[in-house]
Amino acid sequence: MTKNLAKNFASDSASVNKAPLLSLQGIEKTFRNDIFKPPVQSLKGIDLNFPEGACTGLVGHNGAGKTTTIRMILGLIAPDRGSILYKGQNFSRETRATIGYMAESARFPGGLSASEILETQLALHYTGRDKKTVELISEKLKSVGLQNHSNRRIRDFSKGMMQRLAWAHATIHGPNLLILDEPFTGLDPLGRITMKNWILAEKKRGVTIILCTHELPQIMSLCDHIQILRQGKLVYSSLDNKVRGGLLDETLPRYFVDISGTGLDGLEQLRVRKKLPSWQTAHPEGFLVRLGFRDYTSAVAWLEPSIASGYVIVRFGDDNSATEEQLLVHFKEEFSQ
Amino acid sequence: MIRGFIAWWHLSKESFLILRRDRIFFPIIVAGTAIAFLANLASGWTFEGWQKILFDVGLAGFRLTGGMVAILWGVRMITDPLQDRSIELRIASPSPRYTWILGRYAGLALCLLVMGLIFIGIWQGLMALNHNGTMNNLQNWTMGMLVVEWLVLGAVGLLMGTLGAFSTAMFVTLAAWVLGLIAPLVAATLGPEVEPTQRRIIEFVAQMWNFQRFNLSDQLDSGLVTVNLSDISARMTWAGSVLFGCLILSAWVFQRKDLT
Repeated sequence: MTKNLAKNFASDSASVNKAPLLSLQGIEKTFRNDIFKPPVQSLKGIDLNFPEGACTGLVGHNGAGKTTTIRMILGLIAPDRGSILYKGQNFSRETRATIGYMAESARFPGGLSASEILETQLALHYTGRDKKTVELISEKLKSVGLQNHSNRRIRDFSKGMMQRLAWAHATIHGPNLLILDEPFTGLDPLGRITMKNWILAEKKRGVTIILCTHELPQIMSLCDHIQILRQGKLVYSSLDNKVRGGLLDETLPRYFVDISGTGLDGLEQLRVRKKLPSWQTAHPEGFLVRLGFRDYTSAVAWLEPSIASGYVIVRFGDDNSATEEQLLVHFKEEFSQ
Repeated sequence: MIRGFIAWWHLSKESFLILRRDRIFFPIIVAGTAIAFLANLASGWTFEGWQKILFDVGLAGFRLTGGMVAILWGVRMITDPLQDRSIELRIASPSPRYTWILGRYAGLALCLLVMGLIFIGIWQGLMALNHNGTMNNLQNWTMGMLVVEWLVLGAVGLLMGTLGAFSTAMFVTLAAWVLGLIAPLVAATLGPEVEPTQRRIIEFVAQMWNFQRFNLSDQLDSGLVTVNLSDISARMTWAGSVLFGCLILSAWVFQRKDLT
């Protein structure tokens, strides 16, 4: 299996050689919250680089220092030592205006409406804009499916609606750097797919993304690089040339589509007729066929034509268990407490 | 500069809307109105002293209702967003942190002023209905000074909110208010047996932290109808100093605070 390790987070990829958009150098932070308890050193001199235009996953156990790192980048916490540089320069107000942030389980004041929240966000991020504020808000709310809820109070929003608004809030000002802290928390399967598509769209637009999540399969499918923190230290970085080159067995599919209403022959005919991407594995399981794909876009390409042909998509998603298991085996040392 | 002002304006507007739509806003209006009606009812029990009863009972309710709300909102303006973490979304922006603090206070002050105007309007209506007249200059100033007290209490609450958790901040602000109300009364009744050091301390506190400055009831009771402007400006100067001192200190503390 090790022979087949794919270069998922390739250390020789183009983005490694690019100058980092954001770099943290020798960051240290100690919290002294309680005078009766010893101080807690949260970050122990970490160096992190986030290449421009790439999606970098920041991974680690609870208490590893991920959220502290993110809050330092956002200016919510000041480092005791070290520096945070944006394109090699210290942060200025103008550069802060180009950051979008989606907090874990984002909360907004319950008495406000979605459009009021976004209006203030635009006013605070005074970037040059061609469109009028009202137009921008209306377009953004439409893009996240909240166009009919623009004047509804936030306190009446469901968890999924809140996440949609959080996404709109993080991206409405067109950021160059997007920091996402556990964006998949509390989302149903459809919501997760939607969130993933939004992240992919931003990535395509050239936005630099920092994705902080516990969900390793999401990291695998979205990120170009991975950096693992443990107890306030960087223990693995795929940007480092000395580290192992690949992570996963390339022969294993990472996404699946469960289709019922036809057999393998019917699906093969559909593939030829609609010029759909080939599957990597196909297993008839009872009344359905599970098609396995290596990449996300190939899996998605099967959804609409299958439905249009009268078949039923029973399930679609990541093969989480397989991916997670492989990652944990591969990073056994890095993740051990 | 202009961008900073725009950011502040939007934050103020947002804070005002949060308070205006707070679940306790309308209950407070109802409670304040009920107190005014009850005071008006009580003033009908006597012909000679109707004004004294109306203003003694009514203004005590008016002062307490508004003061409590100002403290509650002032503290919550800071501790609520810290508690539910919504603060991250606003502070993670190019605007300096003090803009957020000043915006929060401006929204609070505007909401308290609206509340004060509603109450004063109700009082004017009651006076017109039951006593065939409007409030005189001093009566208007008496109520106005109590609204200024709310603004100061809101600023003290805001400062305490930046320093501590909700319950601690509420307790300390309420204690500070009570101290400001009783210290001048204690200082005025000190007997000759009090030690000079103790006397100096009490008189110093009473001088520096005197919330009775907002109370013009004594002037009302003495039958005055117009306000002494130099007296009012001295009271307002003290209120302004406390208010701006609290705001500057809040901004300074908040600027250095780690939002963990």
